Amino acid sequence: MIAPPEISPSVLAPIGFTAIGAMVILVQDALLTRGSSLLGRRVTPAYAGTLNAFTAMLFLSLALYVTVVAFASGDSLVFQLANPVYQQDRFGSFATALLVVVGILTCALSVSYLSELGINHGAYYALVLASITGAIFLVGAIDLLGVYVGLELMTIPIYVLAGFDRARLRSNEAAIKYFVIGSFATAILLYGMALIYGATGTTSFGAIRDAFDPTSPVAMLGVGLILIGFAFKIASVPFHQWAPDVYEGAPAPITAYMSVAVKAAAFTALLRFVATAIGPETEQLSDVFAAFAVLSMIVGNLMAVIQENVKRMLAYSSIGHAGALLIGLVTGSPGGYAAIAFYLVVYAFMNLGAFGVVIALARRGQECERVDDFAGLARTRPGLAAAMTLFMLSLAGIPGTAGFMAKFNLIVVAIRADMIWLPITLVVTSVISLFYYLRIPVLMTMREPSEPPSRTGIASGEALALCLCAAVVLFLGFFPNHGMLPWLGLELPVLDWASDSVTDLFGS
Amino acid sequence: MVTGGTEFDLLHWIPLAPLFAAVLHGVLLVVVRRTVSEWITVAISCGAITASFVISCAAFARMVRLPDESRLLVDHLYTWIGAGVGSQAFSTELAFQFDPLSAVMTLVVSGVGALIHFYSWGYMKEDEREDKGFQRFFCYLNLFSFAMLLLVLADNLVLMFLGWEGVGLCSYLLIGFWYSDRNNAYAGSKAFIVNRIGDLGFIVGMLLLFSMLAEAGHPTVGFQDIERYFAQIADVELDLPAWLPGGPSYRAVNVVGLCFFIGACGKSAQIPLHVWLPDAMAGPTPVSALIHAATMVTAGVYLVCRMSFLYAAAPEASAIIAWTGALTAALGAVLALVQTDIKKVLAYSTMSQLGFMFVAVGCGAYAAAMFHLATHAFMQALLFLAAGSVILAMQHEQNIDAMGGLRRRIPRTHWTFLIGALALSGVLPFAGFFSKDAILVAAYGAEVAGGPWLYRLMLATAGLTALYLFRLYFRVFRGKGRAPRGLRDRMEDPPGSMVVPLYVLSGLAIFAGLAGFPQAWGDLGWVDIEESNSFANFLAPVLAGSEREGLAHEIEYRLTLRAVLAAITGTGLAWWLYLQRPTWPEKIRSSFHRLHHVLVAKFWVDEIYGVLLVRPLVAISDRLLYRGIDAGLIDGLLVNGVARSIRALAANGLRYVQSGLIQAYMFLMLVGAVAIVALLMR
Repeated sequence: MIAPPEISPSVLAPIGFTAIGAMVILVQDALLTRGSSLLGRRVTPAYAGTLNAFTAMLFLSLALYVTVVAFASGDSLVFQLANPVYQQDRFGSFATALLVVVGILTCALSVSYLSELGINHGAYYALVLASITGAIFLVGAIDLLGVYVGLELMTIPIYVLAGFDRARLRSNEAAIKYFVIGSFATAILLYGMALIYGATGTTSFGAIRDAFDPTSPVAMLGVGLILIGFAFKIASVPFHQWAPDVYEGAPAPITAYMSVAVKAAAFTALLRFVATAIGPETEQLSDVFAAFAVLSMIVGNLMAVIQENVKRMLAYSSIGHAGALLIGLVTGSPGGYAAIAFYLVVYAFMNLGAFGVVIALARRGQECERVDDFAGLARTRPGLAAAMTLFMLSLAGIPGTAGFMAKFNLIVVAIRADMIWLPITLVVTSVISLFYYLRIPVLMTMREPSEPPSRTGIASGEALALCLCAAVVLFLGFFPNHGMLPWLGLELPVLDWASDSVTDLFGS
Repeated sequence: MVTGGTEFDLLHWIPLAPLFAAVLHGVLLVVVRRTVSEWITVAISCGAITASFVISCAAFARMVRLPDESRLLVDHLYTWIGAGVGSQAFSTELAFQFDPLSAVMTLVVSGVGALIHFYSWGYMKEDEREDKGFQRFFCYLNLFSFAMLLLVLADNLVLMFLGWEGVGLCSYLLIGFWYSDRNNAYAGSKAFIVNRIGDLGFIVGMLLLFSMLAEAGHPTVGFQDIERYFAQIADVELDLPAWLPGGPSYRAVNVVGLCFFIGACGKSAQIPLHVWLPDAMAGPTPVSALIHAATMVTAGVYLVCRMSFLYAAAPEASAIIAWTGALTAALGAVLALVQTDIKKVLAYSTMSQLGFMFVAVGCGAYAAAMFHLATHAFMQALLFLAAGSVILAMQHEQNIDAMGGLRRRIPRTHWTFLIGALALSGVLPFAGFFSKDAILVAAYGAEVAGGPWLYRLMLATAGLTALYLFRLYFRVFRGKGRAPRGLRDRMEDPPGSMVVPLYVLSGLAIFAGLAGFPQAWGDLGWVDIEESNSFANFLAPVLAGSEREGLAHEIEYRLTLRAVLAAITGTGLAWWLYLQRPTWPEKIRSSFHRLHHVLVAKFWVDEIYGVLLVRPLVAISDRLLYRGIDAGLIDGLLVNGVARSIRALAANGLRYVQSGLIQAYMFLMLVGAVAIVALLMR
């Protein structure tokens, strides 16, 4: 007889809020389109979409609140079905908070973009929330089955969202491509899990750790296949080729969400898997990660140089960043894992910011995605140009920005772990990356605008999201672990939080 | 080495004042939709940089009251990066230090910077034609001042790197300021890319140094700490690939020193990274004066002096620096002889003078390098600003063939330019004489390979300096007027806000040399021997090798005499060729037309780089990675190839093999999967 599951409400609170939020939005959307007026305004599709976005952000904020409370308490709580499948600890909460903030920003960036395209449907926000639910489950999963469920729950809504702009052929193509290749990768992952189960007789991380034998070919094959599944999600070379196509085709807010949230969730899950189920110091794993890292940094950054489409360029850049992040995994030390966690936060804000500018520039039915579209922007839209310059500098890792801090932290950790070639590869590829990142500011400041922009205003949601991203990028560039606002009584030591959170993985 | 450190709370305002001005401009540019009045813009910008200068003077006054060996002011803001725990702990401070070395740089940067800010007011006035151009210019200028002051005041390598990148970025924005000309934007990009290559050297040097220090148990990037623990890593050996000459084992300090020098080469336009500086002249003239003559380009020299303890322990790296500097100095001087653009002549002149400074640091005479850095900042800024006045008077004509006889038309500009040319040529008793003499003396006594030839080359270059500067002077200000009649009649000297900086810089170009009398001159009795080279004495506590024995005084007098003769010969030759026998230069040119062609083409260095570096890089990303591997190899060879062979094998089994991209991607995934599993299970 199976014991009834022990459900403690606080463990599942973040997941609960996002899941319930998704359903509420679906119902609300159905009700809204039928009503004729609400709060004295006629319900147009745009109005309904805005209300849906607000509901989504409300539920995400609730999830953020409970996550922050959980992080502050520092407890580790386990959600148990037959086995323990989900654990809420500081590491999970740190990642969850990041994912939820990314969700809020994605919703804020989506509203007017979708209205411009005439596809501001409630299903969009419901799917985003569903995907975040899966992502949260994934980062807390301590069982292979939990990983699988979380991964699929996160990914399947994205298959739909990538094709959400149904009228556009490229969007459809992106969805199909992502779906087919994604399924292929999931199949590989699942096969790896099966092999691990075969070799160890269990799916629970802790039990796998006890039974794992690095010399057993079956177990190693299983680990290899699981790594491939994760490498696909984080878009590491040689499992990267879907990324540029899908990033280019999907609606820009979804691209932003994918490049940030999916990468962050997959990375945290991978960290937890390696640290608690395999053992971070396994030598063969380090070799594989080093190979992934070097290949991703080189191919990602070199390929980005020749791109003419900003979304594609950012796709290759995200491959390059994945390579940089993998350096932390090669070290296998708490410092390296903390550097990854911090890097993920930084990357989330600077990349969302960069996509945010692309979104804010999109015109009716036409993306502002060619590199040439940025010509002369410093004259016509000085604010957006300044923000874009900041995000590009940060992505390139210029000191004074968060991007530098993240890379620097990673390099220091790698050097302390007696590596020299990986950090040097990172430095060399970062220098190469300047060629394409800096191209955008060059075009913005040193070229005449090609045509007058058709949309000159900026929606308040976009403006707020961009301001937040820019503020975080600057703040973390100068105060990575320092309370800048002592006069407000506010301490925001993000780097310390990252360090604290990974101790949960290494503590036991 | 200086110990201790006195708190000085105002220090951080030196860089922050221009930063706030830049931010204020930025806010006004983005938020306020209409053009802000000229007066407000000027008040914000010039006020901020003047404030920096005043605080620098206050800091200087505070510092000189301290005893020699504890002249160090510090201002610690907060711990910038504190990463890791326990034995992995590591922190970088956001802190500033003001020692004699920083003091010289800070005073030069903020002082000359302030003068050039005022000059720009008049120079950029007509940029009202482009909306907000005037304000945008001052915004960039303030941002640059912030980055440059940060660079010289930083108390650790990481913070210095922040300034290092910042000045590069601003220089690039300012070179491309008049972007409507496509060439200007191109010049900006070129400067940026070449500087990136240099920065790579800087970062790798920093990484190596840090990893060595971490290995010795002192993970730190602060200058004071690096110097303190340097003795522990001075003898570390580094294994590099065996195919490198002189290997396989190197003293790590040499490698680190060379890495930092690559960074310095990029910033300071030394061979082989010198190609960007002449093109950078596309920017407005005040920018050339500030960034590409007085401040940013000297950052490389400052870096080497800052790390002087390291270079003093790395004789091989120092020798390479000395010879690179000498070759650059000679190359710059030779190329300056054939340029016809007034600013390009000065650009090559800057490059050549920077070469002099590197000769000095390569020979271990760090104080002489800093001395020349300071006097050169005054002289070259003066020449550039005077050239700017000429260009304004000529209505943006820069070709010296179209000038001539401007002496009467713009007398004030003429006099200041003449003072600058005399000073930089090294004519007694102007500033350039003393600083250049110190370098020549150092080159003579240097213990580097090929030492005597180093000295001879530098002496000849000193003569060439006088030749090309006075060629410029005579072509522009003397002889027959070649400008169109109408233009000549309308010419006038610039307004007061531009002339006053010229006068101040002229004064400095005349008198700044008095700060550093040669040690030998103490014998003459009219200066106190202890105080005679007060500039070097002032810097002695922070620079390595200051306690070295000088040359015998008789030798020094002989060298001084030679330097004076070289300057007089160059000046006289220019006078004779360009004033007395104006047809001769043309004859010389036509009888050596091949050589002239080579010089005008700048030895085709740009073209060689294009063929050797730029094209292969583009080819690698485009042809090899993109079309080659992604599309060609995977698609064409592997997928379709496999498909074709399968089709050939099972002619009827597979009726149709789709060769869509998804298949190609999956195929690559499989290949990768096999490779990874093989790597794991080996």
